[in-house]
Amino acid sequence: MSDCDRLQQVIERHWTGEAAAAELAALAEHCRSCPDCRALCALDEGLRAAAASVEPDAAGLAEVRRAVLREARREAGLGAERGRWALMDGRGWRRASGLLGSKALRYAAAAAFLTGLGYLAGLAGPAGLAGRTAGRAPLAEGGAIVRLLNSAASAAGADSGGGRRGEGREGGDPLDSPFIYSNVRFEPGQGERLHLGFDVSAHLELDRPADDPLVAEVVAQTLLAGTSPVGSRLKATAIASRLLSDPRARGALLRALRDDPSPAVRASALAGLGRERGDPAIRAAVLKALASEPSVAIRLLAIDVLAGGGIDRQTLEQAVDSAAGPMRAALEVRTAKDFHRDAPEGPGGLSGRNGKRSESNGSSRRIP
Amino acid sequence: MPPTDEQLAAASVAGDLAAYDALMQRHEGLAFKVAYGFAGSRDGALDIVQAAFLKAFRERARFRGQSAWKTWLLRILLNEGRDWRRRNWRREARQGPLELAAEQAAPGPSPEDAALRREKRARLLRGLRALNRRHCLALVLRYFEGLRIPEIAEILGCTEMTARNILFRSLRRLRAELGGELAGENEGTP
Repeated sequence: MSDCDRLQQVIERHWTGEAAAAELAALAEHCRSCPDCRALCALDEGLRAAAASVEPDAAGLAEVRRAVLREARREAGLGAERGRWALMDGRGWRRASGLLGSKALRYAAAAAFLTGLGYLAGLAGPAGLAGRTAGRAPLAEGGAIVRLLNSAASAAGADSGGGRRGEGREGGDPLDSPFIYSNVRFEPGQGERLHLGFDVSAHLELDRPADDPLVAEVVAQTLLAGTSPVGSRLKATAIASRLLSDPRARGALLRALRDDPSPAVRASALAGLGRERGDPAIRAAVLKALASEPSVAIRLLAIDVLAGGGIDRQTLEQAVDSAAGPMRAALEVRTAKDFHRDAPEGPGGLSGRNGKRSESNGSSRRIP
Repeated sequence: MPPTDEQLAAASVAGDLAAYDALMQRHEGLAFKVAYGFAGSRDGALDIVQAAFLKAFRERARFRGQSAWKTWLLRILLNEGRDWRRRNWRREARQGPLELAAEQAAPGPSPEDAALRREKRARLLRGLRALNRRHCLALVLRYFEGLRIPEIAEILGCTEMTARNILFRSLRRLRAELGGELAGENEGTP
């Protein structure tokens, strides 16, 4: 058995804490002359250190548990509906197969949704829905989804008669509905009426123009609701950055920059907002990010955005001065670099360490 | 005496969601660490853990008690981690460094040391994710969860001897993956 084979066994015992001190000393001695074993030991230590630095994210895990239990309750209540709907990847409702597969069925489903709600609310039909459903975001008064569903209901009226799915069939399956009702509350109403309160959700697949109001609405909710996975939120920031003229998309990006738990999403939101870097509201939000953002990478990006947006140099330097944290020097260097890129040297330039400014003539430059 | 995992699992099969919640609480730390080894980011780890807990809930009736519930959960986690990597490899390649840099910005004794440590850890995690599923899992179970060889063998479904070989082969693959970047570092000697 070679030294390396023998010492492999020592490393194994080292893993389990069973290696004797003499064995470890022999291993260290061997490593001095054997690059292969030295590399393995370095990896061993590196992996131990990497693993030791991972602390479970208690808040995130509590959220995960709540989400799982919510779905577990829903599934326990829905029973047979499991075959029809599936929660893919644990992150959102997706259609498993078949349902709403054709355009006519989608329209019919939308019509059923409106008609059903109309019945429940004591309304004559979908026309009154937008005026009577209040509060919940997807059905907010005047929301794009309501307009979409109203038009879909009209189309479905022509295509399929607008009836509820399964209606008219003897012994229709009560679970044969494309909609999920949750958080349901029943209370006696006036006379023979019953008061119902519930959340309702459905999965739709649609092709819409990129600048459709529905796109902005969905993007905004994806970013604000905080229940979508990081990948979806990243895509939403990319789409929202092309819809900055829409106040919902723009507001959602500003909120994502401030509040999103994922640094990747915050960075993407910042990059998107950078398309209108001259806008005062966006500039204010980016300045705030520069002061309070925990990620150094994002703060450096904020400096680039601000410098590229023609911010007054003094304002930017003041913001960097007020930024706390161990990486302040890096921020100062980036600030100087951004300004020197277009204005190599001159009055008002940073000089010396800690970003102390030359006050030779008190003027400040703007990046064109 | 607190109920065993198997008792809680049986209760959850009977519809006791509180029992399933207790199971999740008991193993979420383990699940997170292992998932982190796969994903290299907190968000990715949480995605994997959620998917695994949901899958375990849906498949709970299939748990026959032939292995420990923890082992069964880890097998599910392994599959979800593999699926996550397949779905996210593009985003991972594009966003990984930024996310890692942001997540691992913990202050150290000096900025230089901290930066070096962060960079080294990021390289290790990237190398780990580049390994094949079995090798990655073996190292994640060993280092991130501190499991012993017999437990690793049970999860991998192999003998202890094979598990040992897989572990060493994984270390060598990781070294090759890193291109000898860490090979000359003396700090690695025990």
